[in-house]
Amino acid sequence: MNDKADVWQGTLALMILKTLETLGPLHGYGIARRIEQISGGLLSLNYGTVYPALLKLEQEGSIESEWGVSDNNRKAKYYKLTGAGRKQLEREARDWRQAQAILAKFLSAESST
Amino acid sequence: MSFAKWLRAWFQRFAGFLGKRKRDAELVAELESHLQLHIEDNLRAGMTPEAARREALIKLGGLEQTKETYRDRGGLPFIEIALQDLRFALRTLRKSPGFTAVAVLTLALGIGANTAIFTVIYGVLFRPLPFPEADRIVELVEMTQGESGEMDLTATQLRRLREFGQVFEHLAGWTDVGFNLAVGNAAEHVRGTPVSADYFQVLGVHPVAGREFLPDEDQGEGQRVAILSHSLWKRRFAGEPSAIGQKVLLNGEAYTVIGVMPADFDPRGYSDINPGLPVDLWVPLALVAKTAGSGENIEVLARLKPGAKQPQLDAQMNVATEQFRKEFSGDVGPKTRMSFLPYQSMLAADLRPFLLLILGAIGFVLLIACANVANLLLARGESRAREIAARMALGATRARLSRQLLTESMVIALAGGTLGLAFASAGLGSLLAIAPFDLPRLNDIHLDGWVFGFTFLISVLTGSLSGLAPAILATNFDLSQVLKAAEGRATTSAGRARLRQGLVIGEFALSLVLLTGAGLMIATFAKLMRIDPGFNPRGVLTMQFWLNGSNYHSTPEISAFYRAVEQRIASLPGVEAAGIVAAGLPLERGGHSAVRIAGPNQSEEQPCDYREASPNYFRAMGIALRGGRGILETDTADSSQVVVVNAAFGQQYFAGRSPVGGRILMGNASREIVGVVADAKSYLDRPALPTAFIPAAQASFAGSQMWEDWFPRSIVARTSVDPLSLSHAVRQAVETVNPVVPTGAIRTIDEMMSRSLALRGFLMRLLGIFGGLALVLASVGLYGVISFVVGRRTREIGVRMSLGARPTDVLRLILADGLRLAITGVVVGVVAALLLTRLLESMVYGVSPRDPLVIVLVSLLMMAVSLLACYVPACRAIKVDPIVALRYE
Repeated sequence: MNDKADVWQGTLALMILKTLETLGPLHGYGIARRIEQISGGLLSLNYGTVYPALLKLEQEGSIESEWGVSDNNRKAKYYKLTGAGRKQLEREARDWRQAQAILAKFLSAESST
Repeated sequence: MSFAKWLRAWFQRFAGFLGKRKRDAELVAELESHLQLHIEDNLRAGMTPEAARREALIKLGGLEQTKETYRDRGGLPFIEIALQDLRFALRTLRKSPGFTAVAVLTLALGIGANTAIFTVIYGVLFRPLPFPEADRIVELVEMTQGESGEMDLTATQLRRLREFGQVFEHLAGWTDVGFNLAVGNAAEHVRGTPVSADYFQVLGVHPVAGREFLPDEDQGEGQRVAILSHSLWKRRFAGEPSAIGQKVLLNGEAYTVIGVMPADFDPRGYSDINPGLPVDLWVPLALVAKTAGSGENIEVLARLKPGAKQPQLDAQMNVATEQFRKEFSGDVGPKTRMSFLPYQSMLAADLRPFLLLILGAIGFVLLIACANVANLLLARGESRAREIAARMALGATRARLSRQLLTESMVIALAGGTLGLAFASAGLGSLLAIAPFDLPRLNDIHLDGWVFGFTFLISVLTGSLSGLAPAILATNFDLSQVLKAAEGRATTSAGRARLRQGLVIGEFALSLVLLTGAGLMIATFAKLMRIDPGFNPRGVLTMQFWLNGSNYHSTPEISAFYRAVEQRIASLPGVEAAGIVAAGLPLERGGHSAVRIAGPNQSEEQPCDYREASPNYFRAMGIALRGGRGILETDTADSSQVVVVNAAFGQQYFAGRSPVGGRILMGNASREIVGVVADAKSYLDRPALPTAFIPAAQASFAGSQMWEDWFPRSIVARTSVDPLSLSHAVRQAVETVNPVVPTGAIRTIDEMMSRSLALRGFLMRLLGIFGGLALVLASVGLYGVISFVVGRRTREIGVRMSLGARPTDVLRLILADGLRLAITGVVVGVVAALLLTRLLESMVYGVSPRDPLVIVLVSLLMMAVSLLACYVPACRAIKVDPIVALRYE
């Protein structure tokens, strides 16, 4: 069970970072909503799971948090990308694309023989 | 993840761990705000408030689960769990103070004793010497077939050795002598060390005032300059800087003070010539290098060049050995190899086996203490079975429960360790005070980080050793069985019973080894007590004194002084006889020389101990005359030269025939043997060496001076009263004759006898105490196991008795159970003892380390004690009322 959660958290972290890059500072609920929307409903996400992931990213210094006020005047904790987070996002996105490309090639080669 | 990032995350987690409350509150607030945001969105999408809230909660997922994951991630869960276990352990232990006290105290005694002994051993053997880069300081040794010992050189050999010095930064010789230091009208005997000019560079310590020796001062005849110890400087010059440049009289010669060493400087050179006496001054080695005797006793210390490698050193010393063998064939035998070993390892090398033996023995005691605590924990686990079962039923995992139980034994062990450390620090002083040997490096023995580390380590080890098996076994049972079992009925697993039996067997085996050691030492002691020392040790007072540098410049003058002192002391009330001996009392190391026996083998030198005695010495010491005559007043410088020898001399050099009338050659003098006396021993456990007693009045003045450098002269007074009551009068007698003759230690021969037995006596007592303690603990363990067996078999016993078994049958049944354990323990112990007691080889005397009688007696003792331990519970078994027993569930 733990192994699965780790893999999931790895991709979840990347999604969180990308969301923050695109949308700027955002609270946990907004991040969770956004991830669900982008995946077009393919991903069923327990919103609660983003919080441990956010905490991990914050502990590692990729994001930082601050209490703020939402558009409709609700107190919420806002997360934003740090310089280190930005670099991490770039690196992980590149790695991910590379892995994807390799796998795509590999799979197409497999089917053509 | 990069290391920096990882570190940062852990740091944050640690911070989170400390601010746990705040973090939890913040998460609650964040989740609350999350829900509100979601609900508002849902409302805007047109849901009813009820449905909006419901949907938001479902989407968020398990709230508690989220919090749990978040918490685990935010802090340090394993520490939190450990703290929780700790709190729980403290709570449960507080609830059973009796058990806790016994367990903690048992371990505290074991750990405390180990800590104290470790402190001594670490200080004496392993603590780095307090010199800069002390690991580069090495000492010259001679290796003969794997055995290494300090090697002494002559001045010529030291010069030759310097030619092989490419790996050495500095190489210095040193030797050990005594000096009479006269200042004004008072004299004092101090320990002095003639050293090469670069001695202080080898050690890397330099004078705090003044300077070191110059190479010139250690050339040729040497120059009369001296460096003082800090304490001598304080004592004699009141710590005045003006002391530098002043003159002191050493053995009557004027020396210029050129330096003062730092207060804490202690070269650690151990000497059995002046045991216990600190070095008070240093003079150039060249001054004594020419003297025949001193010149042959130069020890060598060197500082290796930085980065010097052992193979390089070995290669050079091999070349040196070859060269020395050619040049000084008498000193370097064909199987001897010269080498250098770390100075540190050479100090106390002779005490090393003894100290490690004690550490081993005391380690056994700790093992037994562990076994006992394990036994207690097992018994406790049995009585707690229902509690543990209930917790398992509520979902606690086996590992989690074991961990909690182990935490409990760790708490006990660490509490024991802390208390043990307190015991050790309180007892260390008394331990050193009763230690029967002169420990070198006494200043290096103290509690410090290493000792704390050791204590912590053995505490943790003790905790796991005693707690691990009980913790695992406590949770190892069939849950439904235990829960179904009736209240109050003992439940046990086969594993636990086996473990308890195994522990008892182990305790018996360890006890047997310790008791066998004690038995061997008792046998040794009994043998030593029955040894005839060759003199009568009762009621004899001795006092050291020195004459070098006094106003006596010839043998006749010294003889006159002897006579005056002897007469004065002999006339004291309570004194029966008074004599004087030079170059060594019995029971101590003394002068060793060589003689040639007139006759066919006249050219051959024979080893022989050397003493100078006054006419009354033999009577005062109670050394019996075996033939011929003793030394007489009429044996003077002008009469014919005579010598009295001991019985061993006759046996060895005259093949048992009476040597009286024979002649020996000592140096140039030929002496007639006029008498034979009993073998007064230098070491109780070794045969006496051939010894020659020269009449003090016929001794060579120069030779006598030379012997005095090492061995004090001694006054011997045989008294009919308590010898020590005459101490003052004896010292005053010498002062009256000559106030500037320094006097030293006053001791009774009885005291010296017990001191020479002290090491073995100490070991005997220690092993006896340890063994006794072990036996008590083992018996308690056996008692516990048998009581338990009786409890469990009550019903069976009832059945047997109602079917007609007699009480004796039941008794036999129970005793057989106990004896089986005891016998197994004894057998294992005997095997272990046979393997281990050879470590006592160097300590036993007159018995074999595998003496069958000792082993049989100890085994019988253990059987008797184990019968006793079983008898009490067995008696309880036969008093069982069959009716009650049959109802017993």
